[in-house]
Amino acid sequence: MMYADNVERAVTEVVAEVSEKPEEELWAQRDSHLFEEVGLDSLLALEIVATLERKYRIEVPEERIVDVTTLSAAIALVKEMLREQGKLEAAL
Amino acid sequence: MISFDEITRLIPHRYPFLFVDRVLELEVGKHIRCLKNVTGNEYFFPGHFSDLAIMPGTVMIEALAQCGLLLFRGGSPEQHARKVFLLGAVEARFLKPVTPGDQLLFDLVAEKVISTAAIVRGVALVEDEPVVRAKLTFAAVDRGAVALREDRPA
Repeated sequence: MMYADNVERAVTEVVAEVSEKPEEELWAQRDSHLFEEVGLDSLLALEIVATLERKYRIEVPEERIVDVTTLSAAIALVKEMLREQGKLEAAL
Repeated sequence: MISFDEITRLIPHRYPFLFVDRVLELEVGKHIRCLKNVTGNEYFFPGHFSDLAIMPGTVMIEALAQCGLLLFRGGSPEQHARKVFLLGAVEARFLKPVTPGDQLLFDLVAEKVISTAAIVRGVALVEDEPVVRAKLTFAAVDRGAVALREDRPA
């Protein structure tokens, strides 16, 4: 897997743990929808976001949780939040 | 404090599946402390087990989930009036058996709460000793969404 930075690697690890999917598979399909079952998607997204919040000490607003539909979207969201707090460079 | 009668106005659970007797402290969306007195007359003891009464771990998880629901719903029961509540994930560790005569204190804190779902962490205590620790994830889902599931072939 060719991660460009540590945030990509760490977010992939978190999503793999919560979704119980292999990291390789997630990374290969990082632009595909993570969740298929309607109804359960919000719970898994919530778990992913809560874990990322703890890891990076960020706070994701409720309205942004629905954006976490793909691994790439989760990575982009974390980077955006870190950038807003001036912590992105250190996290990379 | 929230009484047993008031609890039945906040969550839809009823006998034989309501496992919270009283809410001692509630900071809606943040923290809750609840109480349940375990008696030898609980309906599950004749089957679990006939010669040794032990409260089923699954029932203690359900009790923690009901406390979590009160934590989530306490401030806005109307908002969730037409919802059903589904557990999505449970991580639990059972530390000591619970038997008739025990008084369970449930302490829960919210890890993440949004308008449609929550993640809570809780511990059940008997005489200040932890007997269960758990992390629960649950969602408030429209009743229609559950009805659709019932249409699935068996």
